[in-house]
Amino acid sequence: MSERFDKRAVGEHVTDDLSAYIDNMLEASERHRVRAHIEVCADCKADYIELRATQQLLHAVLLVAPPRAFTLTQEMISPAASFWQRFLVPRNVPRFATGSVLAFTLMLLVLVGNYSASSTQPRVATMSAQAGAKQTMKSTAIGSTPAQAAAPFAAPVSSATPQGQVTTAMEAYRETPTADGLSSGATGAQPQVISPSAEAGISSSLTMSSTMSSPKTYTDGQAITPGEPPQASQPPQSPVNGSTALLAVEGLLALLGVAMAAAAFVAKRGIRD
Amino acid sequence: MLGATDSREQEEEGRYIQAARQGDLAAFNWLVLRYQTRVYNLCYRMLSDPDAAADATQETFISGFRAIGRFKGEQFRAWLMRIATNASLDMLRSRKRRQSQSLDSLTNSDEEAGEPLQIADLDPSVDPEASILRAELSASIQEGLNSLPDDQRLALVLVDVQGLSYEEAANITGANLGTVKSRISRARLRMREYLRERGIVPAVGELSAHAERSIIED
Repeated sequence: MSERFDKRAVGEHVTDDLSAYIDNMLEASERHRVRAHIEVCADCKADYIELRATQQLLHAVLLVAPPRAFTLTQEMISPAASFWQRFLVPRNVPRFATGSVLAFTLMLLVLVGNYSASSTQPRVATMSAQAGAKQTMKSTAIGSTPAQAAAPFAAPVSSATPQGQVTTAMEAYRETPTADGLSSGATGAQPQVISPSAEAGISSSLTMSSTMSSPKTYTDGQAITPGEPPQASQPPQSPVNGSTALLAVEGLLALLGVAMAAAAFVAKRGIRD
Repeated sequence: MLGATDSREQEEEGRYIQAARQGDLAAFNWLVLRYQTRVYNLCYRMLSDPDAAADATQETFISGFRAIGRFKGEQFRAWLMRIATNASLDMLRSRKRRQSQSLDSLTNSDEEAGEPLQIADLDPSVDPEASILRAELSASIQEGLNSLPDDQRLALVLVDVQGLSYEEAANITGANLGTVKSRISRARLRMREYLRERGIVPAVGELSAHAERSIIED
């Protein structure tokens, strides 16, 4: 149906320029060339009409309705959510479900460690302080490291975050004596426990054991039960029952930390690669 | 719903942007409500799956809030759409990686996801037949978009579906203007082919002169 015109008479076909012509993106001279050509070339004229129709159909595609509002909550933007997100959350899991499950599991482990390890009150206080310090450090570490990464922006948000994160994590641990112990200052050592552990938390990795050693130095030094051998700045080697169970719990937590890191590494490679 | 146009709206938006840059989450959420339809539509047209589009949209706004402290001196819409583009392309890439790794690459759960609700369909006075036709057209166009390479699909979605200029599309994608022109040209020709084979774009030989004129003059 269409005729092949002599190229010398009408010039090269302008197929590749038709879209730009339709969108008025051609220089004046180009525009004139294309218009002159399609007036005499049926093929290109047909292309022009069909491309116009295509463009109009695409324009007429209606907006789809978003299935919900995408406004952000504090939880979504919290450093804790992003910290765990990076490692463990597959696409179809609500983002912070994994984080809270982990937090809860760790809390249970620490609780078990507390209750199984002691019978005397001072020891409970000591280990409460240690366990509380661990939790604080974990939450501070979570709060600090990503907060540093986010430092360029929004000073109010990032400066509020470490305290905010301690509060959030603390609320998660609301049932435990450790949270109360920290807030009421059961031993004089606790304020000192938090700041060096915060520093340790910032520079430490996921493994729990490294962050646990410094506060032990303080609390062990402060709260010595009569009859216990003096503590060195080592992981406690105090009377048998309590310390064995405590060591077991701490070993478990360390293993858990390593296992999580390994699993996260594997999962991340599996998704990203 | 689609973002600031006139200068008074731009000013108002500017105030919300400044507040959001100071960490005001409620101010940022005002921007979310303003742009979420546009962002969702970009993600949906790129990913062709409502759930993936929702994920990418949420990801876009989370990243946006985290990055807004660095936002300065450009059009907010282009900045946000660039984040949305990257979120969508990331998801496309990881989807492809998963598909190439899986032994059973025939499973495609995306095709089972239903066509999302068109905004016009939310109006109860709309003729149901018209809305079915519109849904079918939308589905065909989506399939045509799916058949394009990612960069061509992106260019066509930004310019023809979202109605952005070539310049803004170049800004969003980080490509130069010549590249955008070439992608649009190729993408539209392929879409034309796809739609003509399905009788959606009429072959010109079948059009009356009157119909031809109305297409050209529209």
